[in-house]
Amino acid sequence: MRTAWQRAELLFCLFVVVVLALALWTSLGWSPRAGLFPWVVLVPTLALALWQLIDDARGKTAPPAAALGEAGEAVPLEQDLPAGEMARRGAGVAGWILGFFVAIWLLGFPLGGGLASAAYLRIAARERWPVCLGYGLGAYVVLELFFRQLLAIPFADGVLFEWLGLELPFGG
Amino acid sequence: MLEAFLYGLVSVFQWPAFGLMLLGIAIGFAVGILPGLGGAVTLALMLPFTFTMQPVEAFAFLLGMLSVTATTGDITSVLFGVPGEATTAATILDGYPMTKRGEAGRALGAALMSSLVGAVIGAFALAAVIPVVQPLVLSLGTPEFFMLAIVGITFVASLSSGAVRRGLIAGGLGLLLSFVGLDPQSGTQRFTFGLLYLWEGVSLIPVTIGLFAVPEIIELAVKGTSIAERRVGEIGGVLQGVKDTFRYWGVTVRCSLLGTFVGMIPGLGGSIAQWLAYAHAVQSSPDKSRFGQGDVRGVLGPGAANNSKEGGNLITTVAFGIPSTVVMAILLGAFLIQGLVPGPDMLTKNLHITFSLVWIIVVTNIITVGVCFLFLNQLVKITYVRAHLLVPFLILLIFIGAFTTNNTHLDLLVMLAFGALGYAMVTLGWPRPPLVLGLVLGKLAETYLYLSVGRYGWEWLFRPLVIVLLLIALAAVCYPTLAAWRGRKWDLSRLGGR
Repeated sequence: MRTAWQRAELLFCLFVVVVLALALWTSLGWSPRAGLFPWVVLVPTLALALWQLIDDARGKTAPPAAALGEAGEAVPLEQDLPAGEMARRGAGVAGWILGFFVAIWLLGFPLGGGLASAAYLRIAARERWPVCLGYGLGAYVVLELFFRQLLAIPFADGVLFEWLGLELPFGG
Repeated sequence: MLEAFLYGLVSVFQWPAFGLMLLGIAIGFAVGILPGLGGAVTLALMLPFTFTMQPVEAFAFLLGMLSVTATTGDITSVLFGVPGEATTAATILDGYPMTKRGEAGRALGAALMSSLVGAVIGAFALAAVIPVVQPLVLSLGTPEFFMLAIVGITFVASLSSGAVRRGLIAGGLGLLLSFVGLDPQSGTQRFTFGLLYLWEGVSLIPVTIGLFAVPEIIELAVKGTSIAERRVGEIGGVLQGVKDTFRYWGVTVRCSLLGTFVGMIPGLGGSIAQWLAYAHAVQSSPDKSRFGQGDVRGVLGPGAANNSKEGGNLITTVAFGIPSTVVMAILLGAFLIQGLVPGPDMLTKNLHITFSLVWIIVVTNIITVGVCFLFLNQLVKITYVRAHLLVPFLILLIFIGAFTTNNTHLDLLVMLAFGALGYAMVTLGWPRPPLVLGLVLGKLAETYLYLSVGRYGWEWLFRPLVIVLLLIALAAVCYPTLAAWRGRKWDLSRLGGR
């Protein structure tokens, strides 16, 4: 019976093998001049990945020690939360990071960043409204005035404004 | 010679050169701390302001700014796990785990002091090596540069934290990433999927931020505590970090010299200096098990090399007019603006200006480290702020850092993809540094290999220095495996004895 970690390791290793195999297969169509170095690297790497996959499939791989003790001994991971809860929270945070990206892409860096920050604090962190609004406004001001105006970083305008044909005073 | 050396020192402290140096330090401080704002961009932006300045004033301003970015870039790497500069990413590996353990002060103390030592060694190497550097650099050809890159790649085994096979696979994946883009020999598109964006290859910064910063932010948000999980004596021993620099004196000096040497080689750049120094710190240490979990030697090595490389970079720029990095190419522009021609003149007629460069690096680093130590108390307190308040700030920081690489949203997608990969690797215990090393050195190795074969056929394999470097590479691959085997044998014999 495999543990959740071993299943995840097996899946990840399979993913690596597939990526390397596809890369090797693609590179076979290149001229020797363009393909020589990639072949020299990809063939042994794929062989090693297959070896790793076989070990994983046979359940030979153990989870990493999370930490080392004072004398350098392996110490098991001390988790305050059950693994399921950790995974659920991890997925939630990953979702928020994606949300920041979508907000920035749609509304531009200053506005999207400011709004996403305020939304994160209100929804995920349950902070009070004044803190959320102050934080969001501060983020907008820093991104707009400092990064865009003063340092002239060419933040692209949000695509939403392009689609709607709108123009903000400073851009997205 | 001595007169020029002293005149160089005096000219740095003359007005307005000193004032301009302080201004450069202030700008460099901000640039180093803010992710995505690189030294090269800032140098290019500031270059036009030097038209009306005297040579020493211009270099006090530009070089002062440049020297500081390398030092302060380590601060965000240590405090947040987000590299302030592309060249300070290796500091994260042990600096950030130290911060999480409540030892941010010690990590910063070590990073800053090793940076200062590295800068001083690099600067004086510039002064000392100039008379002999010409035959040294000219004796190295593309075969030796190729072998140096191979030696760097073989450090993968040392960076694998005990999981050598998985480390080698990760290194192979890094090399695979380095193949993305147009093949420099034939112009063939490799792994570009028809996207123009990928013609230039995969940028290092989004990959590094994704691999290292994203998993840390997820972990921080999941735990919901502050970055520092416990407090160790308020500022966690800044003085201890300073002492560590001298306690592990060998690591600091060797990594400084390594950084200087790498800095001298055109095309190698700061990221490579730092990663090689980290690999050397791991490899030369008898106890490797603590690296990656907060070993101060993992901070000292990259910190020293990152600053010493500036002296090395300047050696070839000043002596031959060969800029070894983009930053040095821009600085070369400053030389030409000032009417200075790099080469023999800089070693004879303008020797005092060359020595003033040495002193500028030394003085700016002393001032920067002094100022940093004054504010460390305040900086370290950031790590005690609640995670919920830090997370949006850090997410914005990584997005800005990734975006400013090429000013395109596609870099954000690359960062997110590598964030997912990095999270999986951390969770499953796959080492991440080999992947970065493969990406950094892959293209370089391939280019030098083709140049070597094109120029020397296969005779280059028999050049004496190539053979020496090949032996070093073989030793670097075999040593960790042999050491692990001997360790297992020793354990078994002990168990048998019981």
